Amino acid sequence: MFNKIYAFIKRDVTIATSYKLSFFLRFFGMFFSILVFYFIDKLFGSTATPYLMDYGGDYFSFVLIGIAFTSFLWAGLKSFSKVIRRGQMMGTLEAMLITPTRISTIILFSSIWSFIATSVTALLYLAIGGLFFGVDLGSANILSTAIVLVLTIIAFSSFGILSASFIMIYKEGDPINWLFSSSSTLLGGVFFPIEVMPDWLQSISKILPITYSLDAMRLAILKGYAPAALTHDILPLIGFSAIVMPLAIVSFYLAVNKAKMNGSLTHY
Amino acid sequence: MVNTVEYSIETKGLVKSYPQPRNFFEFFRGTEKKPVTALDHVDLKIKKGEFFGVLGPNGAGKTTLTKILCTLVLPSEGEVRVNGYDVVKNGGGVRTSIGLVSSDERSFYWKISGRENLVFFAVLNNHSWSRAKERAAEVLEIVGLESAADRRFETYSSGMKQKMAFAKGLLNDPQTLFLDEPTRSLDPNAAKEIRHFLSSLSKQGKTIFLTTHNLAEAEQLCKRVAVLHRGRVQGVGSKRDLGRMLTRGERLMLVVSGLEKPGISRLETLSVVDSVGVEGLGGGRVRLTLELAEGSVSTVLSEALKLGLQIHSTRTEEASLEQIFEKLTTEEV
Repeated sequence: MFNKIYAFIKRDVTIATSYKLSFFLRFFGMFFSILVFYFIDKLFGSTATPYLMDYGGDYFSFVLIGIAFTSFLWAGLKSFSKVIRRGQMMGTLEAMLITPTRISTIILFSSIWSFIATSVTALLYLAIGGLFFGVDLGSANILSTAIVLVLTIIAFSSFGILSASFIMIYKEGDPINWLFSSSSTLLGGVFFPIEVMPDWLQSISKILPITYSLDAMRLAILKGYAPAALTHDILPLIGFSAIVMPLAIVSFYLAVNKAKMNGSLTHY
Repeated sequence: MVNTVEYSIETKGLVKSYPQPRNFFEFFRGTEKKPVTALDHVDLKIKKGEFFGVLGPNGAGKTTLTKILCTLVLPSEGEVRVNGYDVVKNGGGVRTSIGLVSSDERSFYWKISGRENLVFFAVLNNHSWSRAKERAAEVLEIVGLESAADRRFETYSSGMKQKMAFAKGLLNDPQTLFLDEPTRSLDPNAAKEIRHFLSSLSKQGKTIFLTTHNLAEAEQLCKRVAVLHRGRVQGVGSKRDLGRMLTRGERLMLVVSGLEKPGISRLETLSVVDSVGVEGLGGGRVRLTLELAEGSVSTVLSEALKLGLQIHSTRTEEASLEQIFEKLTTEEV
């Protein structure tokens, strides 16, 4: 298994580093988006303080963690379907499917690099925030952060696998991705605390895993909460994974079977 | 019970039908469309070590057949075994024992080197990392690409890319190798080199399953061929077997003189003669082309002498694969 994980990561790193300009543009993009929120904080930061007392009262730190860890939502939601789509478009999916390696392994291991790159991006966000914009990361609880991160990846990935099932059959037009990416950005507390929204919108945000994930991440990093103090976020994340992951796995196998029946496994 | 020892590939009553896609309105109206039958009760038995070709016009079902045998598509009905493994129940077993060589250049990662591509696919074939590197080196040597192995795939010529496809197909030292038009888009010299390479693989005892439009290539390489048309197997066998299916046996070409109309009628009425073709050559000479039952040349010749014909030359010939293909794919047999 480790040979395969290594092979997939090596392949993806080699391909990613062959596009050198892309890496630098991504880095500068990150820096500029941080800068935008830094100046927004300068302008309106103090008015947001009453809503942000649970996280230390600082809007810039709040939003920095929001944008850093929302990238895991994108990675979880999109990487699996992207692997299938790219493989179908490039023609490499068929070449992999002709080997004894199971399709689930191919999809899972092909996504590892995406999560590693996302982790590096999140760390860079935090590092830039800490080094250049004075965000205090000194009190972060590493264990809590790691637990929340793992649960976040599992919860988001379960929706991502569900999304991949649609891509397997329909190729384009994936309702899971559409539904979660738009609703999570608006209602999940990425750019503003959910408390500023009307009650009925807050109720919707409670059924999105990103709401619990970002809340727990902020409390773990900015306030140093221990895992036991985060159970109100950790339990819903476990619940999402426990319900959606089995459903996603069954859906994925049904989708592969259907694609093999209608002969569209490698179509695009 | 299917014999798992004698045959590399065995299909019994294989049927594949595809649902037809419905447009937006048909979907919401619930309109049902009749499925398209791609393969219709295909029965094939391909022995271990055989070089077998599948011929057929576009849309005959060749690609569907290959994809079912490689577990990329599931059959609708029937039993299919490859190297003793059931393609539905044990797809993993099938894939450990086969290799696929296609003419699709897109089945590689263009931004990494040929060697890196091969090591990656070798690991997917369950080799350890170190063994994968060794195996990649071995297959690169087999196809003669060692010197270019560390160049990016995107820099390779068409011929080199096709050789890489062979190298990839051989990574797991497969018992059965599937070749999907392996010389398409190659220049004559490169195609010749590939055919030579295929002959050498066949001598190693591998079963080779070739789908091609190139009849000369099939004729040169394959011991037996199947001709597919509209999803049905129209004929299976050696070129001679298929020729017999169409003509009962042999074709006799005679150049004669002294032939009158009653003579032609007399020859046509012989029970061993299927048909007589007549072509005037000038100077009273005529070329007769007779389709005969096997082993009846002497009967026809003695009858010709009885009719008083003067025979200037005789020649027998088998139908070419091109003639067989044309006949089998333009009419029901």
